[in-house]
Amino acid sequence: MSKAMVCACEEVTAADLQDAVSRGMREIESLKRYTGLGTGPCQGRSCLVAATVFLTQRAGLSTMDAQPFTPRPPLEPLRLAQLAGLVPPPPEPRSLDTDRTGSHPLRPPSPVPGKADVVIVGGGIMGLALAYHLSATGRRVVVVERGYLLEGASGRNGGGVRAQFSTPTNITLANESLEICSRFAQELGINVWFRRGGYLLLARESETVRRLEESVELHHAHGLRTRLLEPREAESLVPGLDASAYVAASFNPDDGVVFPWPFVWGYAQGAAERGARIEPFTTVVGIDVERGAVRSVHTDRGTIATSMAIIASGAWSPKVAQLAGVTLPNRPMRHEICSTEPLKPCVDPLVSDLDSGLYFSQSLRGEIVGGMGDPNEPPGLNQRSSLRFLVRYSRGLLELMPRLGAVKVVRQWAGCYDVTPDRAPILGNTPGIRGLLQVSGFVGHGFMMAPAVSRRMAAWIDGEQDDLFERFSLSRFAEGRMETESMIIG
Amino acid sequence: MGPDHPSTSSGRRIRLMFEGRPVPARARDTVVSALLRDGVRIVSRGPKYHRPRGAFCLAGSCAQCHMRIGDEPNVPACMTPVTDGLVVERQNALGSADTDLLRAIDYVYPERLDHHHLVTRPRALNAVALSIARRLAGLGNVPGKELPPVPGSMRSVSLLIIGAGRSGRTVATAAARAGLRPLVIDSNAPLAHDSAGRSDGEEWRALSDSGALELWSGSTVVWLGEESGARRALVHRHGALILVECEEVVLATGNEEFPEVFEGNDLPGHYGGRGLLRFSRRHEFAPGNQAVIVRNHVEDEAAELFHALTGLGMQVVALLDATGSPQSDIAPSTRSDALPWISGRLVRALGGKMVNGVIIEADGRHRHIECDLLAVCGKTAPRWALAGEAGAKMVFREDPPSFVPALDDSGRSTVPWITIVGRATGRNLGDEALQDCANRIVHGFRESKPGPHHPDSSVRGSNVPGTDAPTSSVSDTDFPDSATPAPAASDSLNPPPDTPKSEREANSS
Repeated sequence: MSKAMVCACEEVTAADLQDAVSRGMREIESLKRYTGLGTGPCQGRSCLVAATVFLTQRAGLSTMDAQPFTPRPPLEPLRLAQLAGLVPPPPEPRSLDTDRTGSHPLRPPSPVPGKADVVIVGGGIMGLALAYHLSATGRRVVVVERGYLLEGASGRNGGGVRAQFSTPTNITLANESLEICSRFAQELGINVWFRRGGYLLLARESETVRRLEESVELHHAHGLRTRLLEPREAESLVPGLDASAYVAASFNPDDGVVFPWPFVWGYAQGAAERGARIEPFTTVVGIDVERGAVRSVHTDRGTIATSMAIIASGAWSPKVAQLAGVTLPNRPMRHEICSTEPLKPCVDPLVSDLDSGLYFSQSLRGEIVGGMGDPNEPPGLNQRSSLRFLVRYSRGLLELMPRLGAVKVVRQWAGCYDVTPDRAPILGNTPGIRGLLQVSGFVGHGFMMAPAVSRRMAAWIDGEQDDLFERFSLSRFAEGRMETESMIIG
Repeated sequence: MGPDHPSTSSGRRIRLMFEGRPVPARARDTVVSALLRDGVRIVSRGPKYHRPRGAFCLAGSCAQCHMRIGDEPNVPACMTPVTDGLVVERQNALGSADTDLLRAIDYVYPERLDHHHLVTRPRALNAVALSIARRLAGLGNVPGKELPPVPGSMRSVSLLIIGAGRSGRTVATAAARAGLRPLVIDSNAPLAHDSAGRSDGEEWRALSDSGALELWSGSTVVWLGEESGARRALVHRHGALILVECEEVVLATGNEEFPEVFEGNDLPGHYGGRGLLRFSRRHEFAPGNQAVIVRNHVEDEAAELFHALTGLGMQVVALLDATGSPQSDIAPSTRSDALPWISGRLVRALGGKMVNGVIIEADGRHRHIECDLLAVCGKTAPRWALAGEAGAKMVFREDPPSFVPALDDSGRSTVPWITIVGRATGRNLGDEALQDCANRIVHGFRESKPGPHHPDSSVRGSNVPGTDAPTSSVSDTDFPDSATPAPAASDSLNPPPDTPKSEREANSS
């Protein structure tokens, strides 16, 4: 009971900080995510300084390098009804790239390993899960991440995992991922708070209703328990859902939500235990290709000689591929998301309005976490938050759930979707460059697909036949083969 | 019989309905002051261990007094004025918040509960843990009433000044005189008189009435940044939101005390020193009988708090100085032979449901001191979040530990349209330097704007003392930038010269 609180909002103690530091968290963004400090309603006012002092005294953080965590607007909790009463400000008029350039300020001084069997560029869930599987067979794997783990989309998504897709491939992959999610805590020893509350997809337009009907048939063929619902039935699943706002719905009770962050820690820890090296705050500055094959990967901490480089960089993939002279058709698109004050359980499924791109669910901490795509968003690597999103989202959410008007938004943030022309991923070999592998372009569902895709990709690299890596290869664009997925959320 | 008597001028009694029980309140009470006066110390329970929680910062900064008020969850009770019949409930407890059965979690995990690794195996047990966790999570039920969208509005101004404490007023006055017609936003009520009866509200009223500046008190900027080519501040004012587009922003948001880390720092009965000083003056009441005051930074708040608490009849059993500075450093106006001065440091707070003592270290040994109120006058750090939101770079400073904005010589942050002044910079400018700074900002702003300005002569002609901080810095409500109460001698400004020379020259050109 002798607890010394550093963050009173989330009851994070000095002992929690010590534990996080002993697990390798050495800067404020990782410490915040691992312990939860600073994520409560006081917005980190009370804990930031104490936590920073702790890091400088106990974790070797130089005071020169200490930075506050990224502020998460709004500065004080605002009711959804207040935000919904504003007129949305206009979108950014043109492509906005606010991405950091150059080396990370926290780049470690030590060099990276000089040799590896596989270099994975990107320490998000995809790269770390691949590292976990690939290192099982004794390969020397190095994962290079430009920021802290969770800095990209793996740390910024809503944590939805669903099998309700419109193509057999996606349904199969998602089903595999759902199975992995349900056993993740046992396999990797960390809780991911997987909760099967189902996915409730809402349709307003007749065309969307038709898509739902088609996919429900496909779902049944794949053994899913998806049902088409009348608005009244949907309302009974989510009390307060305004049945007049949509004309049909589909519901799969086996879909669910997870807390995304522990997946990354779990895979990172698992990979490290199998000998993989994970190098955060390290930027890849070049990929050497000689006689049609990968020879080495240059980082700002030295060169790694290797014959295999895997680009698992999410929205950054086109930039990384360019280092090897490869042009990917992917474009980064900002997607924003926000979270409310924690409430007692009041929403079971993840609810998504397919026609507006709005979705929301309740996290295990009780927050209503949701986002909404913006058709006017210009492409660009931009992880800043906008007021426009808050207003649009609040309006959209209250249209569906008027009873949430007095609920307060506590935090907003943004991440980037990695969008391909046919909204399907790019997997497998790169034409003309042996040893350069692609795993990108998941258009907002990379997190949920990663557990299954990484496992299959590792097996394929080990020599197993898998047509996934043929059908979704980069060459399909040149060959005019598209793999269109119509059930994209956001 | 003043307005603080538990009946209003009309003679009607005000009562809260606290968990079904009427609690008398005074006209100027907040929910927290009324509850403390009634003897209620536990106002919430921690989200994880369900430890008892009392009001702590008394200033709307922390979340320890969040309660269900008027059927809305998670409302900061220390900032909520009482109204007759207001329904107030504590949240997140099994049974009563006084004897929350879920406190068992705290005893079962005396060191820490590692939720990441809590019963991950076997699968069945993990599933049970998850379903329990789901039920325990969340602090309040969905609001009982449906709230339709609250219509917001838009405004456009050239100069926005955030914060009307000492520095904000200095800049605002200079800008108003130069005809820039700034919009000044303050989360409190700078027009009101302070509890000592002194006020510079008259002058402010004159500037405001003449239209030389616009003042929004009781308003908070909750979002600041540039998007789609516009510089925007979102202002929370009287329950609605106003989107203000502006060209330049001056941040004078002051600093705030941050809580110290020690065992038992979340016990009810432990208060932030700065908040308690203001609270006790405003409400003429302090929640306890025997106080220990800890002085963790070298300003005079601790001594002021001593006088405030003893003036209310409390016994202050120790003023523990942890700064190592001699008593003679205290300003003469607050120095006293009666100060129970001890040099040492606080080790931990003791108590079950609330503070009943402290362990301190003095002269190389531990001592136990009984008390029912612990006030720690902690170190302060600039309020950095608005600047940070807008993308301004911060630098960590070791002593006192805090993040301070990176600024150029004229106070401009790395975001060129944001200038930061006063204690929000982490520095404490003297009067003249502050006035110079204000003139420089105004001058720079005029330079950057095409076309002449036509200052309002009636304002220019008036004698505007402008920047007097209220005595002891305690007004009706907090001033962000005058947040460290200090005697008038060190914290107020001399009336500036009528119009600075440089400004006259600029005007005549």
